[in-house]
Amino acid sequence: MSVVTNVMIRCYPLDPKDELTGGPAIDAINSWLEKQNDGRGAGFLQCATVDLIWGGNSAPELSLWVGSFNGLDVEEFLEVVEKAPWDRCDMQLFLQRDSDSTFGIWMFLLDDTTRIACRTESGPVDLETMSLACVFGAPL
Amino acid sequence: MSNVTSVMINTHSDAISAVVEWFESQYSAIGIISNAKEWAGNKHVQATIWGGAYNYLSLGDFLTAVATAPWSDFDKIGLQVFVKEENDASFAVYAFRKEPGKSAWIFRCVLAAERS
Repeated sequence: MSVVTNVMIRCYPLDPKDELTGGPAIDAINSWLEKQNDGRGAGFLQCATVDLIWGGNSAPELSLWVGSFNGLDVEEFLEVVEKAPWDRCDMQLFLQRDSDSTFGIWMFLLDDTTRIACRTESGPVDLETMSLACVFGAPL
Repeated sequence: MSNVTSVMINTHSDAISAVVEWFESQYSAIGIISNAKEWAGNKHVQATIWGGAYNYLSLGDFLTAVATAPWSDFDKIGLQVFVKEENDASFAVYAFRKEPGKSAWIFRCVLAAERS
């Protein structure tokens, strides 16, 4: 029996040198995925906007990392995403569990009620003061 | 000069064909980004997600095309449209909802985008 979780992470266009690896934050998430299932791995996130599957008449000005995972520990996955070394906090995590008909969305919030996506283009981001929270759909 | 809007549509419904035809007639084809051959992980993706990026997309016309596609009531429950305009820092989400006490479905923004 399989319990599949669909995952998409939207972040900003990458430095070309990070385009294939996703940079430190996606690297950290993929490293965690690689250690799942007693070290056999659970696959990895792949950049959908680099592949030739995106339609339209322009290149999408974002990067979208996707994967579907069987038996994913969603609670632990959210912790890994929250603690990943993001250089900007205006990312969005789209997550659809087996029982969900639509994607839920998680974003970094300053507190439980204030929805703030950091708008800094560069420089350090104080993620210590923010938490990843469900802003749409059913929280865990 | 460009003004790019990225869109994704999450639906299992065949009614999406009306939106696909609208894109083909007005701009260019929208792709299926949840192609199992390209989607990573250790399982096939359990969703059908269409995606495209369009220069100078008329958001109003696009949303009208989605809202007027021949969805069934069941389709409306699962439909999600994600839109990120040029200066948005995040995707906005549009979906069908029923207003309390009313029976009509309304297609509306259910999560606004953050602006850069």
